[in-house]
Amino acid sequence: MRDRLLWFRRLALLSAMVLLMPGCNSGFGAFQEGVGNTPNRPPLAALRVLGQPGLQFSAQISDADATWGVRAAVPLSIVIVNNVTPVRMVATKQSGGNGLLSLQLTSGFVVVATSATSDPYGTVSLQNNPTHPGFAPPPPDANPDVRLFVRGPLTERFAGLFEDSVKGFEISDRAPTLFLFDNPDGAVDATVTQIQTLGPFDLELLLNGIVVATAHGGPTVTIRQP
Amino acid sequence: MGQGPPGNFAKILLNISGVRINPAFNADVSSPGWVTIAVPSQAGTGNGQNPGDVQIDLLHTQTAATFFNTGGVPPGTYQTVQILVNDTDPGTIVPACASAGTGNEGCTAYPMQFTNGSLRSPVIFTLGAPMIVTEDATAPLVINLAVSIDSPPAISGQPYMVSVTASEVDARSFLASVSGTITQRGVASGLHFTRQTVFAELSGTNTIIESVPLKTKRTYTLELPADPGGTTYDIFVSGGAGTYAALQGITVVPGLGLNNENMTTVATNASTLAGVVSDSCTGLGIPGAQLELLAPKTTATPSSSPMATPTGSSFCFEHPNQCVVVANASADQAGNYPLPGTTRNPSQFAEVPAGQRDLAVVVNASGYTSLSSSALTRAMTKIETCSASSSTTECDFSLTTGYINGVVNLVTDPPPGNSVLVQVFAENSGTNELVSALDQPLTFNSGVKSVQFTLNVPITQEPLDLFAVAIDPFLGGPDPFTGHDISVLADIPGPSGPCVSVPPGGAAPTPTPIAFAPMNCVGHGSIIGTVQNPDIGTSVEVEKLDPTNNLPVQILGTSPALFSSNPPTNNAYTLCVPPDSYLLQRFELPPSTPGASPSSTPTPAGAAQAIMVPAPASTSSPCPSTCSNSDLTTFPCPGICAATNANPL
Repeated sequence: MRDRLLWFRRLALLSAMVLLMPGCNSGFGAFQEGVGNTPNRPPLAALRVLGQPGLQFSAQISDADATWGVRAAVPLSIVIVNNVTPVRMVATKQSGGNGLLSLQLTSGFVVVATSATSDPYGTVSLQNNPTHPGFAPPPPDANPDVRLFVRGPLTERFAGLFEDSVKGFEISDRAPTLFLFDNPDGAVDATVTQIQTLGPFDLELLLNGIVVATAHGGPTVTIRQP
Repeated sequence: MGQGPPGNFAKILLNISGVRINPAFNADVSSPGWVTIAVPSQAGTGNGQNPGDVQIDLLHTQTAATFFNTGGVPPGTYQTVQILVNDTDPGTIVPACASAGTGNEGCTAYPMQFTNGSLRSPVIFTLGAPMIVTEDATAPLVINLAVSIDSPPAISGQPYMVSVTASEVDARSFLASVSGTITQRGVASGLHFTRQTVFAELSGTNTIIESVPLKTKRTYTLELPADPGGTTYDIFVSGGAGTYAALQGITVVPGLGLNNENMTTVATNASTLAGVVSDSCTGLGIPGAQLELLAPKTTATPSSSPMATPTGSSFCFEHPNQCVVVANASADQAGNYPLPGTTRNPSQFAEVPAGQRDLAVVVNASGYTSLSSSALTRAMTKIETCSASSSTTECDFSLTTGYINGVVNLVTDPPPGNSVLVQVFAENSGTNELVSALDQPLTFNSGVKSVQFTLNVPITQEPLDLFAVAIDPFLGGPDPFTGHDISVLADIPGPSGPCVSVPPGGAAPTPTPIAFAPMNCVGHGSIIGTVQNPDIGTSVEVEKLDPTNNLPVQILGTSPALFSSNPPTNNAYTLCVPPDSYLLQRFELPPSTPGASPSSTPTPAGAAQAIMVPAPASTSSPCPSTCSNSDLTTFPCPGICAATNANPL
């Protein structure tokens, strides 16, 4: 009897995974689904900051509209939601050792560009277009600066929806991931569901650098901008 | 192991997405039975979870083996090996000036492509002798990767056509084996989900080289990269509801087998060390701050007892040089640590042995003074005691910092629609020990020639050297090297105390910020040279004199372990630097001393060599190349760079 219950629980979990997988089929990142005859848009560029675990770095990330400053530690995925290309990231190791800092630009499940340094306090840059933005000045700082940080559990796969009052974006990635919402219209909210259930979710929503909401639990949690 | 092509190159970077092995002789990519050893956890998210590549610089792995990963495979005999090179982005080549083919720029990144037209061509080879993997044992496999250039790029920015081959290398020539037994006294009362694991890290650092879970008979074997001159490791055991145990300063050479590196742990329950790391001046959390937990080596003197140190102090707080880093954690966007792990793979700070009293924690953040504290956790009460904490129930740490106010200047502002990004760095004066960099680069738009900055620096009462480096593209694409000259400031006094600015701010008249000499758009340059009779501790630093006081500032250098006089030898180096006048200084690290943490301070060897890297002729096409200026009386952009040869050091 207990085995049958366990089997049903597994079946339920598998069903939940199937329901939440459309984003995953396209790989990691953020996606905008088409409505009616409007085709789906390709996955938005996702940036992965990899290398020596715990290595401190700072980065300037920009798309065509806005610029964000990020300070964090390896590993971290960074996804600009509602982005307008080209996307660029300039990162500086904030560490004096020879640990690796590797920026990787991914589209779906594929690494399409890599830039790395192991120099003490080395600087690297990466952009999604061979020549743009190139020499162009970075756009002004994001205003409002809205960020969703999926803190953990570490390596947990998740999928969900991140939306403002007008548009919704499917998101799919692995914790820890920092989502930057470009030019949100009104307050944002997000609902995310764990795929592996490795432990309780831990989410933060930041507005202009201040944590304005947190969420903890699982397998599905919702977080709203107050 | 890496083997670059003949010629002068600054980097040969290959993007590896995995290694797989097959039991069949001469297996091809479609044969059944392949077992993949995924990229390590520091690339991608590990455990075969795409996406993620390991980028290996073949030039910097030519003198010694570098560890890729340990993966579980079914016991058996394996005969074929395939290296999985990223077929979308296989790698990058950075040639020295005048080394990329006629008329092509040097010291910029060129993509790689396989000559046969398909990046999906397998890099595959059959082992000379089958590799036998037995249950509960580690079988080493050392692979030599070689890149040969079939044709250079037709024009700047186009790919190098290359071939990549792989072959087996005798593991005994590059690896050493360390094995032992872990004895655990007592039985833990609480639940625990992790196995005890043995780690090896470069001695005196937190750089993990290899980790292996304990085998069923509580034994372990580590296969560690070893240099003929000796490579020194710290080895420790953690997890599995036991106290930490550590061995410090284990020096190994190729082919050596150390068999009795035994350690003893005491059963206890796991508990969590958590809190917040904040800025003492602003009160704000410090994102990305790093915490290291120290545990004593087994033979520490005076002897350390994991259960006996009085509350408020600890052995590692008082004797950090006899301790090794056994756990790491990072702060999140609000300064809270640790980031959550999973039930079976918890954060290292959620696996701290409860009641172990000889531990200490060291908190680091770039631009802040490091903080050391005793650390004690208790399983039942969940109360943590840290001597430097501002909380009585959690380990909250407040880091001190000071400020340097300065201004970066350009000779000419960028043309309309263009910009220049500049990063500023600080290092301890007279050394290459960098301590801080700006969080965000300075942006110069058209019409702007000066931008002020405030740089956080640690409070050390010691002077600092500063230097400013532009982050320039090349033909619009990312470029690893700057096109502007590097401006330096030597011997700048540091802040006298927490939250103090240099020059002091707030008082009228407004203080004048410390000014860098104007930076000019000069293009690329490179220095090619050799060192005589080098060893693994040899390095070469490029220094530039501060024009105001004539003191040298170290601005860049060769990577560690680039040189060796033991096979495979290398005494050549290529450094990309913007055209300017420099000093080249050779440095040597003191040899490793068994049983001790190695010194990380290199000392100068011989006299410095003055060298001038000439600026390339100006051009109007292509423009902008790496940078441009608005001086239209001459051509505004640097042309193709020329190589500069240094005398042997």
